[in-house]
Amino acid sequence: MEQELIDLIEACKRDDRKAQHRLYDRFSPFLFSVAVRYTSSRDDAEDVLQDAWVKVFRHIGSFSRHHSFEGWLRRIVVNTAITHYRRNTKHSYHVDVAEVQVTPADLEAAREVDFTREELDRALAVMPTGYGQVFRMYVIDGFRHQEIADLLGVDVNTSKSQLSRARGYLQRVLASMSRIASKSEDHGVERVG
Amino acid sequence: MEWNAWDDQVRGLYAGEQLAPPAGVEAAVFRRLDRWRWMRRLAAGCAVGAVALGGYVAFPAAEEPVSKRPAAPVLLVSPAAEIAEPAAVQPQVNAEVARPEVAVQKNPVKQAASDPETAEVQPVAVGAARRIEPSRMHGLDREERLRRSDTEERWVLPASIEVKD
Repeated sequence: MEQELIDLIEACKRDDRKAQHRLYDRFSPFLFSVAVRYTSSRDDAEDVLQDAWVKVFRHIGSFSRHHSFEGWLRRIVVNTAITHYRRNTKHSYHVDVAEVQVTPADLEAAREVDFTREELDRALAVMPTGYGQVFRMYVIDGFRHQEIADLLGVDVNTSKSQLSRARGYLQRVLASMSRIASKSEDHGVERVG
Repeated sequence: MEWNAWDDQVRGLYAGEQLAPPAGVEAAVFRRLDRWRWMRRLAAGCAVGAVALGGYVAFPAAEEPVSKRPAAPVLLVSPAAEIAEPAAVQPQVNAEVARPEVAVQKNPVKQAASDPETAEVQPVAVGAARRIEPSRMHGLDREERLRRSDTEERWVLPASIEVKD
């Protein structure tokens, strides 16, 4: 960890208001992007970010410089987002796996499909929340299964099985998108021809 | 493609992502922090107050000002007792202790207000209630002290004297 960041953290531990503002300015864009991933709207993400920063400043005294500060912040945001989600279960939304129409051939090709960030976001948006949380935590944010199990209050094996299902689900969705896209391209070519 | 490679492909799409949060969030965070600090100080003050109150209830004497506490008995060695022969002083002390009716209470006003039974057992000094100033005698040699002790008025002091500020 760089010395400047260590000094900033130590100043925040002493309740230095200027240091707290500097820390906020430095890490808020990163934390807001994490919050947006785990919430369904920007308003919810703002609430999560606000709650997370209050937690950060209250508990920064317990942070040890031997750990990754970014990882510690990320963990607080994700934990806050999960708590926020549980409080507002009205946000639950998902498309049943059966609704996604794909063929075995699509699934085979799915791993080789090249997809964009936008497509992935769309696929994640329709994913069941339980799968989505585990997938985001493990694949995107680099949590280990034990950490996921602790944060979600589930068994480690549950985390592993959820991840496996999430990958399968996501690939079906991406394959479906790819198939639809290729069909539309074909139609476009036919029309042109 | 292996799962790890696929995971890396996904992770790469989100790497280094940063989104500027709305401007109002920062103000809201620090407003909440201010409120939390104030509550924390209030809670700390209440805790200290509760401890102090508990201590006062449990140990009321400990909370009294020093001036109101009964002075601890102070044993003084009388200069007169030093210079006098032990055999000569001892009968006098014993005689005074044996004759409480001639004792003059050191603090008559306060003592009158208190229980007469307890007043009997207070340390007493014979003669006018005057403060003893040992420093007056320290500068003198033994013979001068003897001479003065013969000429000046005689003090008979009990074994212990209670001195109050």
